Amino acid sequence: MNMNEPDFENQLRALRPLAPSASLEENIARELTSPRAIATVESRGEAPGFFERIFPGLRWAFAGAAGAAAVLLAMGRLQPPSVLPATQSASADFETVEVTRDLVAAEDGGLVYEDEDEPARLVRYTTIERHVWTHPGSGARLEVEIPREDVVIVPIAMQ
Amino acid sequence: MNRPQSEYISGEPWQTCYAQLAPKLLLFARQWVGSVADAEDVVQTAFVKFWRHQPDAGPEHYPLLYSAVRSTALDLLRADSRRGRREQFVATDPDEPFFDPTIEHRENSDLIHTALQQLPESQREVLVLRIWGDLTFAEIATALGGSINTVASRYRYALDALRRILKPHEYERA
Repeated sequence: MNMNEPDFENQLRALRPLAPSASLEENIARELTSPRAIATVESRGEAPGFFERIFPGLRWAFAGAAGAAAVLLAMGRLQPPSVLPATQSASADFETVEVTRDLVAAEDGGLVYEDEDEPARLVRYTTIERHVWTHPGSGARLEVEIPREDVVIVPIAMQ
Repeated sequence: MNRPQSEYISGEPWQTCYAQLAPKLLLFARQWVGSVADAEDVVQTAFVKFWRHQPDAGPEHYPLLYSAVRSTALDLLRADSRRGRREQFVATDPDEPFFDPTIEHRENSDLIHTALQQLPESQREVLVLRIWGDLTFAEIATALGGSINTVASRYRYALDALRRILKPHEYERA
């Protein structure tokens, strides 16, 4: 017998998913009537904190900036602030020749709730920023790659 | 939002929702966490979180519950992975079936349980939501965050793959 698609689907639908235990509904009822429920649930989630929402990717940006500063210090091009402001040293000696930003990953972070309890989808974008400078005098080339993680919250339209 | 009176037969809106969706949500959670106990924890966390934030939710919001279950299950997997005790996806365990073992299709349910585990995750979750969650392609796209076309094509691939897996067992003659 060569079963067509609707028949196959109906055969699958004939199977009933296993029912949960009776304690599940009791536990849910208890949590939904408990004033501490939301705190318990929120603590298990991975919603971004206030600082991360306002400055997405700042953690990675700091790491990248620190790395860049370390490279510049190692090359002797950047003096400590007490001696010479960093902006003067870096901008005077090197010229920017390339700035790129490549997307390397996009991860669905699931459902979050924004203001007014409207649901929204949280998406994490991981990108690599690449900065290239050259020194016109010596021809030295400086490359810095900065990993960034941007958290974007996209409202979900209700029907 | 006006909802029919029948929705409140069981009492609170969440109770009506629970009565309709609990087995479906549990099955969906088990696509990521193997044991029934862990899956129930996932459903509980996601369900409570959803209803605390949307106490007036109606059936049109129910697809988001699947999304909440999915993200909660993935959070659990990440946490387990960080603790270094992540389990492999559960092998077929006759003591913890996906489907109700008391019905007459017991043999088929075991076969399909095993076959489902051989599908890619992206196809399996769409198939489970469509067949046993009774969601439309548009609702699945909302729950999983993809396009309707992508969801529909994954469903077709999943159905074809499932039929190929089950063919040696002559499932269709059961």
